[in-house]
Amino acid sequence: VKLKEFDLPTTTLAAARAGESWALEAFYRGCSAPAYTLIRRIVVGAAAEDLLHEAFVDAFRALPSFDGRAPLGIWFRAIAVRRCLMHLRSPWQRSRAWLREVPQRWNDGDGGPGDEAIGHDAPGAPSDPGETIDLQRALAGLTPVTRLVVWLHDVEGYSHDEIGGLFASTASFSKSRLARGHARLRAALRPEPAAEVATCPCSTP
Amino acid sequence: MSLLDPLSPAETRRLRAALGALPDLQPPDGWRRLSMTRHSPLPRPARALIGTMAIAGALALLVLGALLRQFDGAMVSSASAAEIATLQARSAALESRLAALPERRLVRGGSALTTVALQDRILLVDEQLSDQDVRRRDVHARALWQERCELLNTLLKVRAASAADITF
Repeated sequence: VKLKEFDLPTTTLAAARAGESWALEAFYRGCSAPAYTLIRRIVVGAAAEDLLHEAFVDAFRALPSFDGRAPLGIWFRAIAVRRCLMHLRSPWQRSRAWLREVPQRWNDGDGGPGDEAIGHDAPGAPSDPGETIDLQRALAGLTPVTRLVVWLHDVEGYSHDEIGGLFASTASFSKSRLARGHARLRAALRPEPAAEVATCPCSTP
Repeated sequence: MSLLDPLSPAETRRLRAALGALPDLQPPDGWRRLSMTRHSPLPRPARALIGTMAIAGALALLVLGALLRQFDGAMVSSASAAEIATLQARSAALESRLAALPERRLVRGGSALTTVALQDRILLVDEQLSDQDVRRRDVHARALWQERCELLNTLLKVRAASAADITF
């Protein structure tokens, strides 16, 4: 289930707003895996579990004011993204940022910081496990802000304006970060199969 | 092909598809911890203290709200868009001056800590300024832009002093 598509039945949502434990648990069970994936793709390291917990605590407190105009998952996604941003902006994290940005060479599976983000996959991984692992490592090797921009734009469907707004900046900021992130992730993609290359119209003179 | 070359449309599509196809990650079951956080009762004296403080706070807010309402019209009119535009221009000018200062690889520990603290406060202000509700309310936006200018000004002084420090 994609986080942005998640919603609760009306009665369950009403019970969750009223603080009923069973309904809040249904909310947690439905959202925790996709929200954890989102957080884990943005935040490298063990902080993801705490951020997920804090995002749910925030959501449970704010649930009575949820107006239901958008699906619950979209509302919760905004809370989770805000938690990630707060984490990345914390003085401690920012002072450590250089540690994560310099050592690209550590991302070769030798236990360096990039390996933390690989995580444990749920069942249903795509057909090319090599490409999946390379891509996860390459993603973990990006700077935190670039990683956040790439994930929010390419996977969560945020617009450049929305991402720029998160950083009190413009859409151009988001576009330049995305282009930089894409260029760095290119190496993780496997070459196209030969048959597809032959039929590609761009390969003909 | 260098790192700076942009991706072709086909590469971009492939990359997005590959990112979207990455598997979900499974968190450890955190429901127990979450429900304990929700239900953790505070000791009775703490609850009584919080209750008293809440009532006192609510009363104070009521009085303050009544006082502020009298001055609200005047405050909103004074916080005009022109003032905000002036502060934004000043903020941009200060940022340009900051960018023009030479970067020093070695700085005193105290200066570095002050710089980081100021940058963090600027980030916090930026975060609040990105809030749509704040942007709609001129009074809040003006106060935040004012604070941003003051922080940038202080940061400029710290950086300038650090740049001029040739003994380090």
